[in-house]
Amino acid sequence: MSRLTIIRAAPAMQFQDLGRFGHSHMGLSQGGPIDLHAHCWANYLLENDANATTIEISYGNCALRAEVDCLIALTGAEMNARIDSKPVTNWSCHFIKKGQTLQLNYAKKGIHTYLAIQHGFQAPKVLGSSSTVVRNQIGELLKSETQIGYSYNAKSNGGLKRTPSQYIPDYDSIKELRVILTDGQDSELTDLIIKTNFTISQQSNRMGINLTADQPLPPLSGIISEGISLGAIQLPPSGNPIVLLNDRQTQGGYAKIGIIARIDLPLLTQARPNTIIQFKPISLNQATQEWVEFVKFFQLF
Amino acid sequence: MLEIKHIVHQSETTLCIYFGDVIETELALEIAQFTELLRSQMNDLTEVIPSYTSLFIEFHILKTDARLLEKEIRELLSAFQYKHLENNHLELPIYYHPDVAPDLIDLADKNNLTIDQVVQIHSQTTYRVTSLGFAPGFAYLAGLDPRLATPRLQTPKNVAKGSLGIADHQTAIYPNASPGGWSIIGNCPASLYDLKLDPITPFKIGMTVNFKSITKEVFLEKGGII
Repeated sequence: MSRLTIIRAAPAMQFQDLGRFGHSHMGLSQGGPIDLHAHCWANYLLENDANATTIEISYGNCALRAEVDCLIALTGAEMNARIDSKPVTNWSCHFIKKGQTLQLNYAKKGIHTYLAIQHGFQAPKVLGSSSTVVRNQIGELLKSETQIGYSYNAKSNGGLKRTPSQYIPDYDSIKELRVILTDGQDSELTDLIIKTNFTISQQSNRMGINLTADQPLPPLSGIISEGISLGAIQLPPSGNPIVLLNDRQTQGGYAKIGIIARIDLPLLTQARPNTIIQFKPISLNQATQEWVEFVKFFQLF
Repeated sequence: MLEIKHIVHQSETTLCIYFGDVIETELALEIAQFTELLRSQMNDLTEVIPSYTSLFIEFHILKTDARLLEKEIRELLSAFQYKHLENNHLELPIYYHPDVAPDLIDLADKNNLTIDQVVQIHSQTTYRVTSLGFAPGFAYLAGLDPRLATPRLQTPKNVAKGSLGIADHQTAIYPNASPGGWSIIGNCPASLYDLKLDPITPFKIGMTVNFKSITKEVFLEKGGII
């Protein structure tokens, strides 16, 4: 089997495919790439299936050596990638020759980079998915000296592709996220939600992103626990919202003020701690239309 | 009879169906049974999560839409009749001792009971699984004796694998080490979440559960860790 060797691991590097679906009723989190847009582009550039396994590299600073020639794609956060000493562009495919090393620096813009390889990485599947969910004891963060398999020897470096620039987000300029507000919500609360500045807290991970409101929102009483959507914005008694992500608990009892539009969610997950954001309402119809376009383009599910 | 109170189209791909606004064991069991029907009859759903009073649904956006789903679900519900089933029973061994239960003494004190009384009351009750969630293999058990009901801890702390806890009127075991805010009164050495098993957890909504007090020797024999 062909291999890449991790010479130096980033603080968090993990296998992700689209996620583990149909097991939430047993308490399992779905997992899946925290930036679906970047994951899908990485696979798309290589003509892989969208569900092919990529490596989600968070915060950067890692090095991988190719044990055979291979064709890879990099998308997501800017980590000033180099192959040996030569700088290579993000949101592109690159050919790595046997013995060459791919080095990524610390993330400069954004947080998470996706490394895809032609035909996908060979990662163990659990309940039909290779997605790592550390809090469910499924998979673990990749460590230095790990050999990663993939099933194909690249033969040529022809047809290298890049993501067209209009699809490359500027993770440094994120200010507004569109939110499907909870139906029937008190209009005063809605006004407040739209006016408030929220700061992304350091206390954020694959379960959720904590936001600090410049003026805490009025506390809402709890609800009877129910299933939670990806991107749901919970409002606990502290008045500081939590946006729930891929590795979220399956049920929750805090009131929800809205749900981040799926199409905008990667902008939030790539925004760095201390970024200030605002919420802007989007209709469910509009959000659905944009999401359908995305799902169709990448042929998800 | 199970009746839809209202349906909320939450996001592009999710909706939540509400059947009531009060936690009642019977309602939770009816919703769980209806969930099984949905799961077997509908192919366009990616998740179906039953809870005490609601049913959360995530669907394939290219195969269906929320309006069509709503119609289909209402049709299925109109033909649905809850059947009282003989549910399986599970007995789990518990080592009730401060060795593994940091809150046992406190909980007894707060409720003006001795440790022995806490153990006796807790292990003589039959509980029912009303919901699965929070983490894999975490089963919310209803039926706690009111004499043991204790509010959640002010601040969550790290809880060991197998910890048996109490929060308000519920009791549950943490299948794995986790942050948690429940008062811990014992530890279960049995495995409650194992990806090598099918299903991955022995718990099922509706199932009855009781706890058997075991000695330190038996706890260690069964693989318990102090």
